[in-house]
Parts: sequence; structure tokens; C-alpha cells
Amino acid sequence: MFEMIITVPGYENDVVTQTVEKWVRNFFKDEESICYYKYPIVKTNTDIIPDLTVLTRRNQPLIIRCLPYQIEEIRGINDDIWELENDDIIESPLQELDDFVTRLDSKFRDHRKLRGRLYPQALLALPLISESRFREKFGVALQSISTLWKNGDTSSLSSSLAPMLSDMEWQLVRSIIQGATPLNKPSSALPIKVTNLGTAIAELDRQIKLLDREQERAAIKIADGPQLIRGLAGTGKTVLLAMRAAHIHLRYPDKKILFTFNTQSLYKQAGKLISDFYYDFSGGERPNWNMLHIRHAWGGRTRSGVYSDLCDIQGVTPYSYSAARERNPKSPFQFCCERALKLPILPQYDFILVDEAQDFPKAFFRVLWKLLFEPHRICWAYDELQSLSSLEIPKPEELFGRDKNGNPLVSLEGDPYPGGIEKDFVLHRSYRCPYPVLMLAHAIGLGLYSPNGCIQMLGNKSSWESIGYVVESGVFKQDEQIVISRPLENSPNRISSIYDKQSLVVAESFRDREEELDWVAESIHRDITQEGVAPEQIMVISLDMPQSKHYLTGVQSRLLRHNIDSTMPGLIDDTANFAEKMKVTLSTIFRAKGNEAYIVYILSFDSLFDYAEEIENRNRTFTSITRSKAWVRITGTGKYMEDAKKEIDSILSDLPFFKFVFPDMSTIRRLDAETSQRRREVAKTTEMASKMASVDEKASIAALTSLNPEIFEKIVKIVEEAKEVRREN
Amino acid sequence: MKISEAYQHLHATYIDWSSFLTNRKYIRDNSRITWSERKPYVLDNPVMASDVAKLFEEGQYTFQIVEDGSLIQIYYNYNKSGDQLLAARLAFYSTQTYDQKIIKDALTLPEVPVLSSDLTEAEMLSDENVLDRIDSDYEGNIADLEDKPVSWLRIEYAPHDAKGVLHHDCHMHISAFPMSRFIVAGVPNPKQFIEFIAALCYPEAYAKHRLNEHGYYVNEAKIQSVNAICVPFIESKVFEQMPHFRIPFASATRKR
Repeated sequence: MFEMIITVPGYENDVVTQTVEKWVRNFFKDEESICYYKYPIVKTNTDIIPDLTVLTRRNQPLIIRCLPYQIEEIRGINDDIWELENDDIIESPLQELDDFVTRLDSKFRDHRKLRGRLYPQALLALPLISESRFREKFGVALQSISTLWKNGDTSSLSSSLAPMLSDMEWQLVRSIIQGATPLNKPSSALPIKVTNLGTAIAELDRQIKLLDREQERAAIKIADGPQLIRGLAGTGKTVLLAMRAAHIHLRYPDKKILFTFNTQSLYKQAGKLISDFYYDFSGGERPNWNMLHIRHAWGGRTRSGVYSDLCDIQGVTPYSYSAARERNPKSPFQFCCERALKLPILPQYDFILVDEAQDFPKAFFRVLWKLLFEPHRICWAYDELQSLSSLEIPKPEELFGRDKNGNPLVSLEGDPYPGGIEKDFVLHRSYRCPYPVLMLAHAIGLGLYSPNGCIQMLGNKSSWESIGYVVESGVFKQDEQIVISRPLENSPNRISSIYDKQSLVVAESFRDREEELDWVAESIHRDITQEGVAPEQIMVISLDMPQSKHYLTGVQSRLLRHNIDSTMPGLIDDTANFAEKMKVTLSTIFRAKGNEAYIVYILSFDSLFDYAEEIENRNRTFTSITRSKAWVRITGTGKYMEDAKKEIDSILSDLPFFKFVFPDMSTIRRLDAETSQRRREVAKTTEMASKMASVDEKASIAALTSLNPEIFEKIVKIVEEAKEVRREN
Repeated sequence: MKISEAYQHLHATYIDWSSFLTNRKYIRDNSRITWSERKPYVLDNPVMASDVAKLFEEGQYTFQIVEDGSLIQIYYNYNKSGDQLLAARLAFYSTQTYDQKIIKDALTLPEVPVLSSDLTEAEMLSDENVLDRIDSDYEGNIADLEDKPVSWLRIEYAPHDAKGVLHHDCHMHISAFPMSRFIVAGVPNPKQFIEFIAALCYPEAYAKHRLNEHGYYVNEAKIQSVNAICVPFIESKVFEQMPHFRIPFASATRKR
């Protein structure tokens, strides 16, 4: 299958590249192949970006430069430059391609497994010029490089690779082109004998990090306007935004970029990711931080933030947290942004990337809108289930507001951006959590098995599918029984197939807190001493927020008795690192956001049944569980924990399915995960069906009977299924 | 107190105060008790909240206090054989700005009903709930921009720099009188310093950990063990001439 990935606007008008792409597509149509437009970006002398890059398993990588010249437009060619008839002088495309291929070759050769296997091939495409005319004018053909001429002879595309790339090699090649290799952990080539949790973690770490199709699009497709990325915990939103920031910076070094977020600890994480990605793409350079700003939304005493920077420019003193809280206790930051909006805000940025968008008040989005130059290239990553305090899920028009005429400033409806670049992406696959852990988190987060019934719900089949589930049976109607499953490919973490001697989820109830904390410390001691887990691979989270410091210090002192060190990040408004070497991390939920560990202990789980803030509690629980890359140990005390344990047991016993009765949606929070693409498809199909119904019946019959039998059968099947659904409704 | 004893003290005090102290960074580096990658600078007065945040970011501390993230620095420099203390610097940097501290104290005093006459009981309770909730949000998500002076104190033992009555070899600087050197008789051991900070700056935590309902030690043996191993006390005439702070000591004194 030939797959085309357009990374920037412009392809729709790039007729020359389109012509070449058709030739390439036709040549590789039966092969597993990927063709990128204007990608990858590799730092060279002239910063050339190839028009097309083609990867296949049976052919050497092809780097193609497409030139839009007629023969009459080229005056002369020599080794270093080409002279054009309009007096322009361009760098020799041959030299530029050679530069690029040399750099790409060295990237491949950095990886042992690809040495001697891959030799990227440069191709020059002159689809408006015939070889004979070129030879006639310049006396020579372009002998030093493979060329695609006007006649469309594609034999020069063939540069076979034998044997074809293995699965592992193919993954590695794609990972390198995606720029995902900085995510890979260094590991030895020696085989690992998996005998305990520690060796299982080492084996899991060896897997090559490769972006899936959705992630790749979200990371590299840069649109000329607003874009939304939605994805639940562990789908890679922060990584993708960081990669996107690095791409944009590399592609447009003179444009100003802002990367903003809500959790303080993301400062270092985001900075490191962006820097590593940029380093990898650029072949050893670091970003220019004057052009790429990483800013906390508010700011801190030692670092500026979006709001504090803006106040500087506006010449006003920023409100401190406490002062803002006095004025708006429920949303101090909303108050700050509203005040800032009352003064002029001049555009400063060409691109803005917003992580953890679900945690920001609406006014902040309006500030960001004003900080952007046209065409308002903002990309915000949103996770409804991690919205720890918000009860509403605002639509883009609510977030960004409306213009003077009352039209929404941002709408994700309608056609995609030029080049087919989508306006919103939903990431289905959750990489961090193994499927039982993720399903447990979803079930608890939504309250699917709660004794009091659901508290929030994805209201239709399409939304469930958007977060990676399959609806097995049932109709989304009040009191109907629904069965949902999660295909394994949407939770690719395979820790349980690497090591299955310990349950991924353990829930324990204790008489009192002391006993609970003793058990946690003992269990951590076992993890470290018997199971070979490094202390930094373990995180302890207290679900009971008011008591968290008390409980966490309780764990700290118990661990000390076992001679195990621990760390409690975030006691100051800081950016402390998680996972400090040789220390177990003890964290509140807010601090844990955006971080992860292989083993997560969740203390005082009985607070799940603190009904005062039920949705918030369940969202916090969701956040806590989804910090785990492998094992979750849940503990608590008393009757509430017994209830929680029953809920957990019911969830686990139904896995890999959810079985629940669909609630009354008018009484609970509705979550919507449908994409605009999906809505567009539904609208288009409705229009087509209406059109068919409105034309002469005989014409419709004639049209249908002339269809390819396979398509005809598919339509019949769809109509039958639709009839079934209508009957049930 | 030998260097090995000082180091054991640090570990023992961390275990003893593990509900109060966290994020230990102490190390023994040859003849010094210090912390990893110590930068030997003293913060200029006034010490601002941002300075403390910076100290934290750079890992320039021995312990952090769980309650509010304040920092404790403990540094001892010994002779090569580790049996004679040459210099010491023991410091506490609060993260609390003066006004935060004042507000916090006011809120904890039941007899200060701020404008309570204008509020119904229900309103007061609901306000409190809101504050509780916001505080927990604040903890994880929002840094405070407010940069104001904070409280601090520092005990210096530097016999080589001593210059008579006004610059005694062991003295204490405190934020309220930054230019003054309060004479200190003796050099606190690590346990004593933590005890001093906890009692002085976190009286509630101290009372909970050490005292009975009447305000006396639950276990006197415990506090005796805190003072059991001391830096040898050096008598000085100035102790008869000038009011001073005195460190409890149990070991033999020695004359200059």
C-alpha cells in the first residue's frame, strides 16, 4: 500500500510534485511504501527539504527534488550553481541533494542494524523537460544523478534492496525518518532473560519507539490555522507537541513559537524533548530559545510565563496567585486573563502549541488568540478525562470566542486545510498503559461499574471508537445493555506477554492506614530487592489530597527503615524532575500529571467514594491509574475501600469487555470524542443518500446495479445494519 | 562530635523527623559534611522567595521541609582526621513571605474573626471549602509570581574570621537583623539544629512530634539523646560579658 503524507500546505498548488508523486505512486502501488511531501527536515548547508521522500521495504530510500522549470527557463548549469533565464541563480540541485543524502545516510549509519543495508538515493525530477532537449541545450545529460524526465520513465526509481527490510529494520527506518529515535532508550544487544519485574521492564524498554499513523500525522502535519489534538492519557500528546515544536522551529527558524502548558514539572520535560528532537533532526544543534519559548501559562518566581510576559509588555504588574484568588476564588487564572484582555494585546507568535489544554480557562485561549499573528496557527492538545476540575467541555467557539459579526473565530467543522491536513486529530492508541490498566482507568473514570451508576459517558458509538474501543453490542439508549471491547492493537503495551507472573492490577483493603502504609513499604521493598526494579521506576500517589503529605511521609519513613530512599517533588513552585535516580517518587496527583512510572501505588483509594466531588475524584483516579506503564497497586482502608475493591473486581472480571447499562444522559456529564472528519463523513453520506432518494428511482437502480459487486454488497450490508439500528431505536 | 558521628546524626535525624523532612541531599565528602555539588555562596539580604526557589532548583540544600518546601542547609568542615571541626554553616530558608506568614497566622487564630459580622456561618464555611479546594489545585498547577522577602536564619562557625565581641567565632544571622551577629555559645550538631528550626519555626509540628498536652517532652530521654554528642564547647570570656544563645551540650568543655 502506498501512503502519502503531506506535512505542510502548498502541495495542492505544487503541480510539478503532484505529477512526480503520481509516477512514484504508480511505481510502488503494490508495495508497503510511504511517501512524504516536504519531509524530513535535515540540517544541511542550504537547508534543502526534499519534495518527496519515499520509503519502501524492497527499495533503497529515495530523495526526490522536483524542479518546475521548462528547458527555456534554464540558462546554464555548472557544478555549484544553475543560472535561470530570469537572472536568478540557484544552488545546484545536484549538490543540494548530495548534501541531504549524505546527512541522511549518516543518520542511518548511526544505527548498527542499518549499516551496510541502506544507501539513500538522490533523484532529480524535471517533469517539464525531456532528456533529449536537455542534452541538446547543455550538451550532457545529468549523468551523476538519477533523473525523472518528462516522458515519465520511472525505471530510475528502482534501486532494489535485498533482502527486503525485516519488520525490525522497517520500524527502525521509519522511526529515524519520523525523528522518534530520541525516544528509544539505549540498550545492549545482548538478550535479556526475563525472570522478574526488573528484567521485564528492561525488555519492554528495548522496543523501538515508532509513531503510529495518527501520531505521525499529529506530529508533522503543520496546518495554516488552528488544530486540535485529542487523546487520552498515554497517547503521546506531550511528545507529539514537542516533536511538532522542533519540526516547526527547524522548518521556520525565523518564526516565533510558543509552547505552553499547565503543570510546572513539564518545564524540563518539554524542554528536553524539544531539544532532543531538534538535535536529532538538525544533526547536533540545539534550538534557539529566543525564537522557541517554553512557558508555563502563568509563570513563576524564577521563570517567566505567558501571562507574566504579557503583563511586562502591557506595563502592568502581574497578579499573584493569592491576589487573583481573592478576586476570583474559583478560577484565579481566568481573572488574570480577563484583566489582560482588557488591555491591548499585540501579536507576538507565529505558532502556539498548548499542552494540557483541558486545564485552562477560556480566557486564556482568547489571550493566546490575540498573541498570534494571522493565520492563527495554534495547536492545542486536550484530554477530557484528565480535566481535573472542569465540569464542562467547551467547544472551540466557546474557547476562542467570536468575531465582531458573531461568527466563531475557530471552527473545526468543514473541509480540512489545503493538502488534506486535518483540523482535528484523535489519538486512539494508548501506549503507556497495558490494556487492563487503561480499561480499569476508563471504567473507574466514567463510573461504569460504580454502585451509583455512571457519572460521565461517551454518548455514542463513534465517540467510543474514537478512543480506541469497539462496540460489540447494544444501542446507546437509556437502560440498554452495552458491551464494548478494546482491540489489542489500540493498547500496544505488551508487558503482560513479556512477563505474566504478577497481576497487572492488585487491589488490597486494610483495617487502618498504618497497616496500609506498612504493606506499601513492604511491597516496594520486595519490588526493589527481589524483583530487581529500580527505585526510580516506582511512583506512589496519594488519592486523598488533603492528607497526601501525611500519608506520603508515612511511606517515606517506612521506606527509610528498609534503607530505601525516596523523593517528594514539587514542594516549591518548582520544576523538579520526577524519577530521580535510585529514589522512589512520592507524589500528589497534581504533581504526577504528565509523569509516568512502571509501578504505580495508589494510596488512600477509599477517597474515590468521597461523593462531595465525585466527577473530580473519578478524574483524579483516572489520572493516577494512567500514570502506570505496567503495574498498578491500589490500596485503601475501611468500607469505602471494600466498595472500591468490589468495583475494581467487577471491572477486572469483565475484561476485555465493558458491560454496562446505558445511563440517562440528561443527568450526567457528556463526553464527545467524535472528530470533525467523522462528522464530515456523516454529513457527506447523508447528502449522497438524500440525493439518491431524490432522483428517478429507475436511475438509482441502474446506478446501483452497475456497481462493482463488492461495493454493492457492502452498501446492502450497511443498509441492513442501519435498518436494525433504527428498529432498536 | 567527630565527622562520622555528624554523618550518623544526619541520618538519624532524617529518620526521626521523616514526617517533617524530605528530599535529603546530604553526603560526606572526605572531611566535609555537605550536599551534592555544593556552591559555597551566601544569599544577599533581603533573601527573596525566588532566591529560595533557585536554591531548590539547583539542589543547594540538605533537607526540604514537607510542610512548605522550606530549605535547610547543613555544612561542617573537619580537619583531615575528622575529629576536629574547623568551620560550619547551618541555615534555614523559609519559602513563606512575611505577609503570607502573617495571613496564615491570622487564619489559624480563632479570635481574629475577619469581618465575620458580615458573614453568615454558612458563608464562612463555604468560603473555607473553596479555599481548601483551590489550595489543592494550586499545589500542583500554579506557581506564584509574588516575589517578596522571606524569613531565614544562619549559624556560622568560623573561628579564623572571628574578631572579638562583635564577631564571635560562632554567631547567628537572622533575617530581621541581617547585619547583626548574635553570639552563639557552642555549635549545634545536626540533631540540635533541626530541633531548633522545628521548635522555632514550626511549633505545631514540633509539639506534635515531641511534646505532651502541657507542652513538655513526652520522652525526655529522646531530647537528651539529641544533645548527647556535641561539638566540644569552647569557653570564652564573651559569654560572661554579652547576652548570647547557648547550645545545650553534654560533652566536656575545653578552654581556649
